[in-house]
Amino acid sequence: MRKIKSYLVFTSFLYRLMMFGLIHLILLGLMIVFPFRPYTQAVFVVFFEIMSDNWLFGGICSKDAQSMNYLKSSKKGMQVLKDGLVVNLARCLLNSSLWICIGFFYTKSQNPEAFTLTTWQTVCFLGASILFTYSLCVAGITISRFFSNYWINMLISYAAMILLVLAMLFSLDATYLVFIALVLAILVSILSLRIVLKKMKESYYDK
Amino acid sequence: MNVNNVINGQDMKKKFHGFDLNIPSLQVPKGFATALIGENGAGKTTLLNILAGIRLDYKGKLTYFDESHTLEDETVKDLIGYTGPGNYYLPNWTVSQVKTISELLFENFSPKRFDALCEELGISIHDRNMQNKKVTALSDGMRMKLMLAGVLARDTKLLILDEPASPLDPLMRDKLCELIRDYLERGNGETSVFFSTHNISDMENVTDYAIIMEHGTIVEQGFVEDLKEKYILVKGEKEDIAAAKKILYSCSVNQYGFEGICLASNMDQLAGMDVSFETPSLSQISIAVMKANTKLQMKFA
Amino acid sequence: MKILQSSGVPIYQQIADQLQADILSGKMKQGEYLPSIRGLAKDLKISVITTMKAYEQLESTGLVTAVQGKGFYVNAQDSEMMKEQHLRKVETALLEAIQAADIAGMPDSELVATLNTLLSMKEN
Repeated sequence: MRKIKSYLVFTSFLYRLMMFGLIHLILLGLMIVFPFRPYTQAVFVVFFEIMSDNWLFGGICSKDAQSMNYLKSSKKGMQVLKDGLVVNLARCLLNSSLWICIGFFYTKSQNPEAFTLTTWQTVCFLGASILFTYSLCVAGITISRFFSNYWINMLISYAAMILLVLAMLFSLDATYLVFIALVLAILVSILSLRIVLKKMKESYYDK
Repeated sequence: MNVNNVINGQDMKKKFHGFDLNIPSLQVPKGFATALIGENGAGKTTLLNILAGIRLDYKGKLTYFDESHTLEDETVKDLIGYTGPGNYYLPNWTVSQVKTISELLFENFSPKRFDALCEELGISIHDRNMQNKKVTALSDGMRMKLMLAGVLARDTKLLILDEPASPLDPLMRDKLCELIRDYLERGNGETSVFFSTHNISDMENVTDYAIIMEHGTIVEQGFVEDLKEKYILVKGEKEDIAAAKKILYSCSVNQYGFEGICLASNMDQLAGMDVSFETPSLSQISIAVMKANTKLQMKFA
Repeated sequence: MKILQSSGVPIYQQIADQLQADILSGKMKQGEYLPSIRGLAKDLKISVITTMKAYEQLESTGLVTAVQGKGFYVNAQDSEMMKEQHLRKVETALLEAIQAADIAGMPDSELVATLNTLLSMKEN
């Protein structure tokens, strides 16, 4: 609960409106208008996640945001930031899972021929898709935090979207892919956390 | 006078790219407002950052509140309020977020008091537009006021304010002085303020103790009333310039005569000259001390 | 109480003088506490140390006594002591005049004459 609160303090009213309301409406609309494949949802989740981070931790690793003296003047500052970052990762994972599952089952309900997979294969396919989408989101977010420029965020999110589409075109047997995606997701998450926290720790010292 | 110290520093050293901070002994008296004065680059911000615990690359021993606490203590940061220039908030924070974040960051932050202080300082905190405004979109003065509201809404024992007066207009500087006096009064000898400033004359009526820094070290310090007895302002005629220059601590000359600061203990050496004496203001003392210690070549000196 | 920022008289002196007048005139009674140091500083918009110096000066003349943690209270002012206080004030002022006369190289007789002139002027 305390961790969720730490995350929420970093979110502004506009961000919350967007990430907990508007985006879901847009994704729902997209799904109904283009009921082809769950990829559409995945691609847009990546786009929205990377773009919206600009209002959350945008530019936190860039030169003009360094030091964060207010956070540092509190004994809890580092912990609050860390909790906020972790909860945001969890939320991102949840968001990816939610929309890939919805997309998958909606497509299946519209077109029962779409996926001819066993239960095990379904789990692996969904798992791999979710984790890969999540990894791309986090990687994109992490890179975009080095820039406070809005347009660079957009470029990064486009790049991530293209990567995702390519990955899906060349998707191999999902059973193996899910393990690779899992390792990737864990690595990217740890890296993303460490990069921001290291920046903060470094700001206590002159290099 | 029996004075305890809110901050006690010993052998504080820090080296960085040719800049050398070296303070053998630092004492900030408890229950008073202390001004940190000095040229740009004298090391004021570095020192204040160290004291606020947002800079750790220094050597030396630092204790707070009658040597009872160090920065590692759990409670001590909750007792210190810090405001400073540069990157204070995260760039994306909105005004209302500053409030919610402060609640989480500090044990004793009162949102109610924060709102009241904002209103008092002219930040329309109940206005939706203001609430959703990004801190980066605020003017320097507004951001300063927001920072002040943030630290004053807490129950602290020490305020460390880095250049609080600079971004404020004259009316707000007066208000700042009032806030500092009010803070000291409420604490009744238990609360202290340590601030750096270039606006010495605006802050003079709220300064009890002054610490003057030059190139990384303290060159003069003391209670203002004592400094005013230690130094004396001397004005004299053209004829005596050469002789007076040798005696004066610092002196500036124009075509009609000279004006300078003299150590009161050297005053009798000026006997026989046509000079007049005056009690100097803190800013006159500060400038004299800075002039005497600066590395800058003053054309008019 | 009113404080003049540029009267030439140090601010602490102005405070001390006005409080002393209040005490000697009986406006402030025995046992009464002076305003708190920081409270007075706040009201007069001056620094704490200035008020403190004024109070310390009053304490040194024996008009008030400091109590740790409580402030300064007005001492008993018996008439004998009040007279003493006034006398001391006169003495200080006269001493100052004597010193000034010394610097000016004024002989004692001239100084006395000046005093007499001033006294007669006052009477008129």
